[in-house]
Amino acid sequence: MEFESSNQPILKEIVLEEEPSIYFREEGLDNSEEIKDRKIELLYGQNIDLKNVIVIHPKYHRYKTRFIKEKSPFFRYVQTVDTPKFRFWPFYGAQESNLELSYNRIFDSVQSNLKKIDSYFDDLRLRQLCYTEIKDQIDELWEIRPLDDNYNELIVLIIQFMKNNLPENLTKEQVNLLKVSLNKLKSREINENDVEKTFDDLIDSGMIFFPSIKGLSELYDYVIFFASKSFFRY
Amino acid sequence: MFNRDSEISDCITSKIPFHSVHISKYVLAEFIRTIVTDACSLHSILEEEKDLKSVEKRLYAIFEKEDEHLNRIVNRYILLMESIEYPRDRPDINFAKGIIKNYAQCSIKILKKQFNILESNVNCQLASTKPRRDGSKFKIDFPCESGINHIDCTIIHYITSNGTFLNQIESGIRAETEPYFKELRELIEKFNNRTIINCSLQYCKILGDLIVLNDCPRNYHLVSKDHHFETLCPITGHNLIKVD
Repeated sequence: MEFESSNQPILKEIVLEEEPSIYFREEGLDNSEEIKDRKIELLYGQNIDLKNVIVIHPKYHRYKTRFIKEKSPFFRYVQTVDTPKFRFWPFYGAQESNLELSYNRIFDSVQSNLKKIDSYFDDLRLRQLCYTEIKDQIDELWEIRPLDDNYNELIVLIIQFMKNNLPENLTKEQVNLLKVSLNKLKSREINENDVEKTFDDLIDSGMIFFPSIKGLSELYDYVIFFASKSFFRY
Repeated sequence: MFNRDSEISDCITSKIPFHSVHISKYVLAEFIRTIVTDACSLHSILEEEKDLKSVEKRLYAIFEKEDEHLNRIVNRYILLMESIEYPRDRPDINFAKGIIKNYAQCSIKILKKQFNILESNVNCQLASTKPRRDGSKFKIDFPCESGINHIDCTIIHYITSNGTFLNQIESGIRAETEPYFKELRELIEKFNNRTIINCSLQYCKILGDLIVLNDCPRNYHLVSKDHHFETLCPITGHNLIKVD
């Protein structure tokens, strides 16, 4: 069911709540349209059946995020309403299919951009454009990421690598390694070794992982930041 | 790793693939004592707070105490937070946790991968320490403070067996008026008078520059941002490349 304007007052009330609460709707046994609105306040450790539950936390209501899974005993599904095509019922099925669609759409775009970079590698302008688009697409992936620690670690790693490396400085090998890393995200079955290997491969290829932080060494007492003490032989 | 805005940094970076950049094991220990420990502490704060606004509030509340030492710590946390482009970028505490966790975990790995680690005159066990998981948080066990490997700390042995080096430094900085050199001079005098017989993390902090200087082979160039080395290197005859 599409979000209807008649539902807006209820949803507005939800997003203005100060504390997270769970709101859920019950479907009639005959799968009819008759839906009751109910609201419950959650207590710490309270066990509830999260099927058919939609939770809206006020901190998300300003963002465009449609769906975020949170690792929390209080809420697993967070959905915001500031989009006209907001779907919320039957949200369990809708979430899954929407997620799948979003994943496929994002990965198609990522693949298409990687292909363009690869095919026109010497076109720096195009490389920059495609790289920026991929970064935005990975940001979108973060918003719909699954509830999995390894997946989250991998996506943070990739975001960090992409952010701290300029597309014009990348080699073909580095682009290929990024492609491999992004493909791992598509599988969504990621283990610790995948995360470690991705990190090792990208670092070994010479990609930069940390941003430049000015003024950090001056904030340590006496002993200066390690980089200021490295020594090398000419 | 965090400073790439100078020609020297470019020069060092260009030498990394040829394995011609070195740090001593003691520098690695210093890195763990400073950046990695800060990252673990900041990560703990992120774990304790519900969102980044609360983290920000908590950090700024510390400023109000007007404690210089705490202010420096908070300033470092703020720099780390700014490095993830908070608050300009995504105000997402889970993302911030992921990034700060990487400062704690990946930075040691990068150091070990990119630099040749030379043995140090002080065999600091902290160099072999890694952040330990403690529930959802990370902690660093300081061997010398926890007492676990207290006996393995060789700082006193280092001091007693490097008397000539320390006295050379002490006489070389006699005319220096900067508080750091004054404190260093006093410490060396105490060692000479045998009034200090135990190891202490505080001595490590003061002696750090000397230990690093002593660890650096004479035929290497020592690269530093620290102006103390401008005074210390001529005393020992080390070649210094000062990074501005």
